[in-house]
Formats: sequence, C-alpha cells, structure tokens
Amino acid sequence: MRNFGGGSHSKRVAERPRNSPRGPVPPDERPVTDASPPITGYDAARVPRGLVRHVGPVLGYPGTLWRHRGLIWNFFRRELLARFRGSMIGVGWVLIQPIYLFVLYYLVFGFLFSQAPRTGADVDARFAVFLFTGILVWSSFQEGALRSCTVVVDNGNLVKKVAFPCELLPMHTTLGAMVGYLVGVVVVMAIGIPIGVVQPGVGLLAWPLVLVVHVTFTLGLGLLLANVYVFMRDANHIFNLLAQAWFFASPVFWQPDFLAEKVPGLYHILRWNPMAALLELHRQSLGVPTLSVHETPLLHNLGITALWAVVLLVLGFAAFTSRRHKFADLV
Amino acid sequence: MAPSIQARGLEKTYRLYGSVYDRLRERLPWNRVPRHRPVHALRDVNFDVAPGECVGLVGGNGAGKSTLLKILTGTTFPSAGSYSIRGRVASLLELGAGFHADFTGRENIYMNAAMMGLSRRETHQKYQEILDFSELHEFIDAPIRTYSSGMVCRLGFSVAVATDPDVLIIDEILAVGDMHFQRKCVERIWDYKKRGKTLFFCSHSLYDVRQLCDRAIWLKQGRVELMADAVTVTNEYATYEHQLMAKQDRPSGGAAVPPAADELPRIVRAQLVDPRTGLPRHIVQPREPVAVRVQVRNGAQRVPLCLAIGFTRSDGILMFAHTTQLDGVEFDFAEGVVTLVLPNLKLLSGEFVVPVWLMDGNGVHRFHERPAEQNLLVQNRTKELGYFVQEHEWKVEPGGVLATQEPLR
Repeated sequence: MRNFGGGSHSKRVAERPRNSPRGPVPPDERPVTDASPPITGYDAARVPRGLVRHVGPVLGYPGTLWRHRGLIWNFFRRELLARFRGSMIGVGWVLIQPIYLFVLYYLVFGFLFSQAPRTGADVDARFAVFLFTGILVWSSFQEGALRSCTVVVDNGNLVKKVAFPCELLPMHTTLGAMVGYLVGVVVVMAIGIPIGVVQPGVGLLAWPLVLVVHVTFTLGLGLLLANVYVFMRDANHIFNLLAQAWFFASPVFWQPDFLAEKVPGLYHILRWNPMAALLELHRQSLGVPTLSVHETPLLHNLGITALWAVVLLVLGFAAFTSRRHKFADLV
Repeated sequence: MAPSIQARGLEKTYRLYGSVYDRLRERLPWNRVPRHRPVHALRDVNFDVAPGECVGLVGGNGAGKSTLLKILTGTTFPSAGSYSIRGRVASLLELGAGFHADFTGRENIYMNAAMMGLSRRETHQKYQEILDFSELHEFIDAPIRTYSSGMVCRLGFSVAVATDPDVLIIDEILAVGDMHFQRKCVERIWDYKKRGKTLFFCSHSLYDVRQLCDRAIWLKQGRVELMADAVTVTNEYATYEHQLMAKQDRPSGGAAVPPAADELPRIVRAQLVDPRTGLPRHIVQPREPVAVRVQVRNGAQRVPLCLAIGFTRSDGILMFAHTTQLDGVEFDFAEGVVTLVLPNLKLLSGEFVVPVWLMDGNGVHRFHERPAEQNLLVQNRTKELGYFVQEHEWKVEPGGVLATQEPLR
C-alpha cells in the first residue's frame, strides 16, 4: 500500500515513530494535542512488492471512488463536454446517434433482410432489438475498456504534477462509455415497448445490479489495460485486435439459437465467454428477446458475471496499484 | 517538536532505455546485461524541516530539485529511502497543472480544488476567497485558454493557498505574475509562515530564496551540497556559479597576458590581499578591508607612472575606480609594489573583476592592462539590498511636515 489518497499505508507510517521500540516517548516529541494531522509518506524499504500484496486493498477501492465522487464527476463531465465542445448539436449527439442507429437496424433487418415469411410474424423487429441492445452493451464495454487503456498516459501531466489517487482515472472513462448505452436503452424502451417486442418484467428490478456488474467488469479490464499501456504502448492496438475476435465470439448479432442448432460444440465452448452471459443478462433484465432456447436463468447469469467482474476488478486493481509508483516516471 | 517534513536517504534513479525494445529485452529471463543507463537524480538526501519553517531549494538545472519536489508531493516515488510529511500537503509543481484550457476559471477552480482534496461544499465556501485573491472577477467565466500565463498562475496559487495546507510545495511559480500579485503572494506566504505552516520551494531567484526562506538546501548533482541558513547557502551557491562561469570564460581571454615589449613599463602581477595579514584573499564581506597589491616594473627608460584600479561588476559596469594620479600619489621606481587599500569595502554581494591599468604619469598613455589574478567576491550575510552599503541614519519626527517647496538658491 502506498500513500495515495491518504490510504491505510500512510497511517502505518504515521504510527511508526510513536510505536518506536525505544520506550516511552520523551514529552517534547509527543504529538501536539490538536487532532493529529494526516501523515503522508513513503518508505522504499517497506513497499510491498508483488501482485498478491495488492489484492487486499481492493476492499478500500469502492470507498476511494465514493470519497472522490466529485472529482470523478468533474472528469466525467469534462470528457463529455470536451467530446462535443464546438459542435453545433453538442450533447444532442448522444441522443441522435443511438436513435439513428436503431432506426437503421430496424429498417435493414426488419425489411431489407426480412426473414419474416420463413420464421413468423414479428421476428425481425425482435432481431433488430436484440442486435441493437447487443451493440449497446458491447460498444459501451469496448469503448470503456479502450479509453481506460490510454487514460493514465493521456492524463500524464496530472499524474506527474498533481498528487491524487490515479486509480480513479479509469472510472470516468468507463462511465463516459455508459452514456451511449443509457440513452440507447431509453430509445429501445421507447420504441420497443409500444410495438411489443420489448417486454420488461420483474427482471427490470435487477437492471441496476446489471449496470453495477457491467461497470465493474469494464473498470476491472480498464485498470488492467491502463497499467499495461503505461509500460507498453501497443496495448491498445493489441486489445483492439483481440476485442474484434471477442466481439464475434459473443452473441452480439448472431443468435445463440442458430449456433446451438448448427454447431452445438462451438456453442457450448462459447457459453463460457463472460460477455455471452453479460449480453444475455442485459437482454433478460430489459425484457429484450434473448433468442436463445438454452436461456440461463437471470439470477444465474447475474452470479456468473458478477463473479467474473469481481475477479477482473481484483486483478486489474492489484496490477494497477502494484505498478502505480512507476507511472509518473513513464508517462 | 516533530518535524514537518522528514527525508531519510532519499534516492531516485531513473532508467534510460535506448529504445522500447531494450526495456522488454532486459526483462527476458536469459538477459544478463543491463540494457539501461541509470540516471541518479537524487542521492542520499536527508533533511528535516520544522513546522513554520520556509526552506528554499537551489541548484543548477538537472540537480534534482524538481525530482525532490515531485517526491515530496507524492507524484513520483523514491527508489530508496523514505520521507514523511506531517499535515495536509498542497503543491504547485507546474503552472496550470490540472487545469483544462477549455473550461472556465470557475469550473477549473472547482476541479482543481477537488483534485487537491477539497469537497464541493468546502470549495463552495472558499470560492469567494479564491476569487478575491486571484482578482480575476471579470474573467472567471471565460475559458482559461484565453488567460495570460500570469492569470493562470494567479488562479493556481489562489486555489492552492485556499486549501490551507500545512505544507505548501512550490516549484518556481512565483516568477510569473505581475509585481502586484507577486507582492500579494509574498504577503500571503509571510502570513502563512506566521501561522506555523511549512513552505518548501525551489527557485532560481536567489533573491526570493534569501528574502523568503529561513533555510536553504543547495542540491548539486542529486546530492545535498550545503544545507544552512538561506543567506549562507545563496552566497555559496552564487559563488560557485560565478566560478563555474569564470572557468568557462577563461579560454576566451581575460587572464592572457599580452606580450609587452621588454623596454616598456608593465604590471608583473596584481593580487587581492587582506591588508591586515598581507595574505592573498579574494572572498570578503562588506565593510571588511581589502587591498590590491600590484607589482610594477618600469621600462628601460624610467618614467613617472600612474596606476588605476577599477572594480567592474560581472555585467561590465564599472562600480568605482581610483587612480594614483587623481589622488596625488607619484612613483617612478624601477621595480616595486603599489598597494591600494580599501579599509571598509562598501560593495554588497557580487563578483567583481578588478582591472588594473598602468599609465604614464599624466594618466594619458596606457602602457599595460591586466586584471587582478582573482575576482573579488563579496558575500553579504545580511538581507541588505542593492549594490552598496551607504552610510546612513534615520530620524523620526512625530508630527513633522515637509517643506512645500525647495528654497530658491
């Protein structure tokens, strides 16, 4: 543990002089009576090395995030505003993009590539919703992870010149990528419910949890990537390549049904893909058709994805914090 | 009292890699040779700073000043050693670090304060104070992209002091900003010191260090060369810098003696001495005696001679000069020594070249010119300002008024 954010390490340093083995502290060295001031410090000889030592402090991470929510909010706002600054429609683009995309999908898959005559009445509207939701989930995940990847280096000047807990950085990029998703979901609901292809039920109650899992999952990967990127600037390109393959390995636009029917072997392998569970989970909770006969129950999916998310977060956080002391010298 | 800042054996080594591949290659298990060049930015730095103390950091470029400040700020970490700081720390390492050019001054105040650990509510309470101190009322809602660097500096300093830190770390910031604002900053720093807060700052302005700091640390190639009161350190450092510059200047002339024809009068040697002991001495303090001894050899034909000795500041300004002719001193020996004694040197800190001219008795024709072997270095141990010690006295007349006009002569 290090002295970031006045974490527990700094307290340990603080206690050292008081618990010195030399016996009672002479009166003039006793701490002054006013509330003992916070002590920051760093002792190169007492730095815990290795990944495992950094797993424990992950428990304090949610607290750190919460304490600095104002800062995260500012970063988030700054990024969002900076993205649209100077454009005429501005933040309106956040709304226009998903609506446009949805209408496009609806037209292309609902009419152009319509399979309705073969399979039944409204299947293509259902497919359009299925696909659109999948893309929302996937792109918020990929965009979040990719932008988190470069976030430490992009904010290099801050990391070098301002003392603040830099493990906060991947949070706002992750949240920033969620904006498109949230707006998209509203669009899906607004169009899907009236035409009857989206039928939200009790699952909607689990939706906030689904969001938490999704953010945790993305954040965990983001922390991992951000750490790697500092040392190896190819990380974002490599991740981009892998993500393309991962995209096709996840049921974003292929229907689990078809694959289960045609290549059952592959289907059963791909079921282990955490993104498959996450995609299904999102669709289930929103009442979007999952187009799967072997649908896993919602709570089961939630459990699996939550487990993945926690594992990724712990791994990402430990990797990030165990290298953090080198960041300022390398960005 | 427990020290406010404590550093023990701080070291910082950067690794310089030739290429990105070297970093990877060095990590390979079969790699035996280091692929990097270590750069020691700091070596074994130890010091304590007491609460309420103001410590200045001086040193040349690359001496490790910024690295030390970054370590104390907590952005970079020592390779070895430890430090601890008691109390809330705020730092200004760079002008406008953490500011976003596209956002308004107001937005940036909130963001910067949040980064320094202030909550939104606290910032809200201090907002007016920050704004008043920065005096940017009319620009506060304009993006700081439109600000001048002085204005950005004002904003940054205002936010940093508003967080009311126990320890304030500043890297060469006060150089920017107009006189008025600099004075405000200095006042704020005095006030800050009075409240028992600690200031640690680095500056190339020895004047600032001397005026603001109680103590100073001189870093040289990553090591603490000297740590003492600010006046001593700035003196020593200035002396060192001047000597370094003089050494570099030497090849381009100065000490080189133009070969003088044997039959003409010439200066054999010119030396700065302490008149009390007669021994060479070139580093003195104001109000101390100093003498210039010049060994002169007359030409084949003995003629009356005149000697002139000047004191030139390093920028070429002649501070004063004396000649034997104007003072009515005459000599025409074949060979001998002429001494100029200044019983009470009135120069303040600085380095002075001492040129010596040998002329004919009327002070018209110049035979020979050469500077004293060493430059005169004056080091004042006080905070006196200016170039000279001027004799002076103060009078206080309660209720006194000034004459309305100078009397006509």
